[in-house]
Amino acid sequence: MPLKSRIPYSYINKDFLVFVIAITISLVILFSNKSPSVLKLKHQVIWVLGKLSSPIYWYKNLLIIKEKNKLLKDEVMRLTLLNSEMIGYHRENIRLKKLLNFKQKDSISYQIARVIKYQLGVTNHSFNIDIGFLESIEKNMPVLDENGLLGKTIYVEDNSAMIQVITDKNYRVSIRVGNERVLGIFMPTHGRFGILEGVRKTTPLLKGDIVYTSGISEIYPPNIPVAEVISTSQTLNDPFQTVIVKLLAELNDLDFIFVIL
Amino acid sequence: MRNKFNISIIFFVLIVFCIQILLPTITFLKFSLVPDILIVFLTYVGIYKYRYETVIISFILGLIQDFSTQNELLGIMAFSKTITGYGLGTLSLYIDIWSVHFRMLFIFIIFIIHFFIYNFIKMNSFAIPFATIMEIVILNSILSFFILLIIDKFIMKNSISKK
Repeated sequence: MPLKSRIPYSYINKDFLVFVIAITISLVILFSNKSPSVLKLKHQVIWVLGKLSSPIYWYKNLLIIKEKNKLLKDEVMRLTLLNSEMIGYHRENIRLKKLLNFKQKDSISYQIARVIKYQLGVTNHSFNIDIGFLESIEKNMPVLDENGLLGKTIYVEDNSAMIQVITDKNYRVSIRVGNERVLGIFMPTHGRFGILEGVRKTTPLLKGDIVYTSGISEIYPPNIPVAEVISTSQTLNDPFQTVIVKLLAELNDLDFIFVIL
Repeated sequence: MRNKFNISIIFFVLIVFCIQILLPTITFLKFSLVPDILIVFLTYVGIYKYRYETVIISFILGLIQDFSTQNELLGIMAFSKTITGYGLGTLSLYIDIWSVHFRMLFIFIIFIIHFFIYNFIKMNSFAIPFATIMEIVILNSILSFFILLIIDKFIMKNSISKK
């Protein structure tokens, strides 16, 4: 038989195709056996294929992890916002509960209002609330928070009112202080601090004594807590002592307040 | 002409298969070896036929050998013989290019691959050391290669080992 001379690559596709088909058929027949050798071979083949394809899975996992990471970041952001909202609700809930308790303790009638706008000038501290004439709010009504006196209404519309805050330089409140409940005038100085004018030297005062509204004024009912005594000082020539006080009302981050009707 | 050639191939296949069945088992050292005449026959098929024809003949021979010799690992001979057929079919493409020594080395490597696949799968589930499997593989390869050399020298008139 003569040897054939052929071009090496002329039949490569046909050869390979036949080879692949034959190998596939033989492997199908081989792997259809249930003998221990074949089962172990299957296990080994799967293990090898798993090892060979591990970089592909690694790369795919990397892409999936990136995508998951992005989704999780979005989720974290969403949950953070939700959490912040929840914390806000929680605080508001606590505050409302306090307000409710405060309201229940006193027989004076109140209207609860929400602070809607601050107007903080250098000398004129004021803010707006969301109730007005329609809720029986009038000018010069005292305004409190759950801790103490906050200010008074100075301008009222149908559904809103402007409140002058007690820290306003022009604000004055008639007060009583000490066990003897002596009269005096509260004047704001800076921030939450103020001084009491007209308190006699002979009046014994202690740090932490609470200053209340006197009730002499037409605006404020008596016994509304206003401030607490921080320090006292006396001079020889002055018949009155200097009393420095700190306001009880929480002036920062106002949300709900009471208007005394 | 082509049909005559194919009929002669079928005739040779039958003869070789009969010889393969009738061959005795040779015990060498501690191993029982059976000479694989089919792989020797496939070497000549690889030289004289196209590669895809060699692959098909190898596959069919392997399959017949599977069904006629054992039933636990059906397909193992078809698998190993197909790979061997592809390798031996490659031989015909480069027979005029490769030197005799390289040709022989290539055939011997193909034999080793064939016996390795067969024995590795067959002894896979047994606790046999890898070195022992390799000993069996090498001995079988040497035996078959030795038979190939004898046939090539005395029957086929140096068709493979011609200069």
